[in-house]
Amino acid sequence: MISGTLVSPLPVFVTILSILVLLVVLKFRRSNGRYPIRPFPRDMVLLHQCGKGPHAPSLSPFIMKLETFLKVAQIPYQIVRDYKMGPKGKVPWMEYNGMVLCDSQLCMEYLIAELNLDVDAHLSTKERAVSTSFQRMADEHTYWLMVHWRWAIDKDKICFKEANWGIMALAVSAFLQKRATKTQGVGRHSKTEILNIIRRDFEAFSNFLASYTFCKGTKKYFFGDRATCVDCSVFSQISQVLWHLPNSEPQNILKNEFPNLVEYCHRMKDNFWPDWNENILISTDS
Amino acid sequence: MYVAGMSSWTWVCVMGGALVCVGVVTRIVCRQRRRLPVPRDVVLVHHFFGRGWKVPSKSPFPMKLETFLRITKTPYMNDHSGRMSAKGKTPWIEYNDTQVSDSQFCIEFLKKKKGIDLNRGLSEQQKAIARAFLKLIEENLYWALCIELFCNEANIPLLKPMSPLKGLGFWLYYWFVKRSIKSATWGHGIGRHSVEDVWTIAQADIQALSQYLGQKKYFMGEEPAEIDCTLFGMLSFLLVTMQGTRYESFTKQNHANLVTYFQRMKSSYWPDWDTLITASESFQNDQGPTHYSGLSFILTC
Repeated sequence: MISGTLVSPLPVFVTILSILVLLVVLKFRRSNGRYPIRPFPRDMVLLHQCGKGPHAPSLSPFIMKLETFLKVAQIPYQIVRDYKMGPKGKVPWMEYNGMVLCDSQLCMEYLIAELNLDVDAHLSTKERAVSTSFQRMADEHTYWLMVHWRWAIDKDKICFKEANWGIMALAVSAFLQKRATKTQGVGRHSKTEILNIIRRDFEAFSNFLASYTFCKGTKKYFFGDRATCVDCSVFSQISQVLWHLPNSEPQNILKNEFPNLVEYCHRMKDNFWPDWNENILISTDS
Repeated sequence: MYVAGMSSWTWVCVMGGALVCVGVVTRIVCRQRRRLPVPRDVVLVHHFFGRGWKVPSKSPFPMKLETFLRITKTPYMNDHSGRMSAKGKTPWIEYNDTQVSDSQFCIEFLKKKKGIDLNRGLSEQQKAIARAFLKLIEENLYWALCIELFCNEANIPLLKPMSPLKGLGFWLYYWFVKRSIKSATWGHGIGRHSVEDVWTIAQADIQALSQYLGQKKYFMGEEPAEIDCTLFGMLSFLLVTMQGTRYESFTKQNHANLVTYFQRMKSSYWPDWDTLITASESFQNDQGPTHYSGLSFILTC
């Protein structure tokens, strides 16, 4: 028998209204975030990002992508570790001569246009099309496979603990990322299916890297002996598997089945990240 | 106010919960009763949205799957009852009592079962490029198209004729779909951009597809490959479902080779297009065993 306790609807209504007002205020605040345009150094990128990664410069592949691009293009920049999200609730974001930009790809495209960079200038029309396709695959597909593995399948989360993430941060992030991967689609696959899909992505990167049709000179990078924008994307995504998924099945697949991708990552690291050890928390020889 | 010992608020909650339970159980039972008998070695393709107003499917993924079945001349039939797979994804297939969901997994499954491989003529490098473009289309361009269609209010007049609901129902439908797209794309990342930034991203994707296609007959060369199924499905969404949008105009004006390619694929593999769109006078419901276009298509080839 259900006991009849009189519940006034007024407190319920006030609570719901308060929550709705709070959500609206937070949304408004996020949409109109005021980012301090401090006195800025001229012609220097201020790269806003989070903390260092334990074994690679960041746990975020997009921070690594943008910073690798700045190194490849030899653009002067300064790291700002303020742990603030950018205008679109994303990180990294950057400031350049008073201009605030978010999203690594949009930042790269802005700098290429603004500074008239020739990073991809030597590529043919067809090569640029292929470059775009591999960049999209790395950033919009391989990324989500890695995210799903690190947040939904990997129970240890060793690298996050090594980076001093607290229990609350891990719990909240795991909840949000699992929901994101389920919405995106990869989160609905089984572990075996995820591994097969990861293998196929790595196979595509590996086979293209090893092919010679799009080769100018020696094949050190995706399109010859000069690193291009797509190398920043592919390197940053694969580096998370190589350095931040220790003893995991994806890492084993990478190391055992696609050694040319491992060599490629080390090549990118050696050639463009001479300050690698200064930007990681735990220095190793690998 | 109390009735039978329960307050009015409690009654509201109990009745509401009971109605939801009855609705869910009824839907499950009805769908079970509508399970189609399918012959052995015939693929049963489950469509959630049914046939579209001007495109045989409202979603590019069933178009991709059906185009694959047509190119490979695989016998199939369609179920438009709206049953979802165990993974909650659509489209999905049943083949000889095995269920497979996700359009790409379906294709991989059928390749193994039927011993067919549209990519057999491609080099390893070409296969790698094809996979990269597959992900460009499905993981990036697709979301950009959804954002433009459902989150750009300029396109509301285009949505009204193809909406399943009219009047106030349309606005509820629009609000629900827009909210779903925004939620999905926010987590994805692309939804955090403005509609104009997404437009820039989409233009780069369309340009890349056009530049790689060039003047080739199919995306990878002279023979159709798996990527053609995906590209055709997405172009049917872009050029037909999104007809009248700036995306469609941009493609027609700047990348006409994609339009020509789409027409060529449609003529070759969808000669019965007009019988499969609800806007056509010659529309025929191809639900169930009494009429399945797969075999009809095969008999006329």
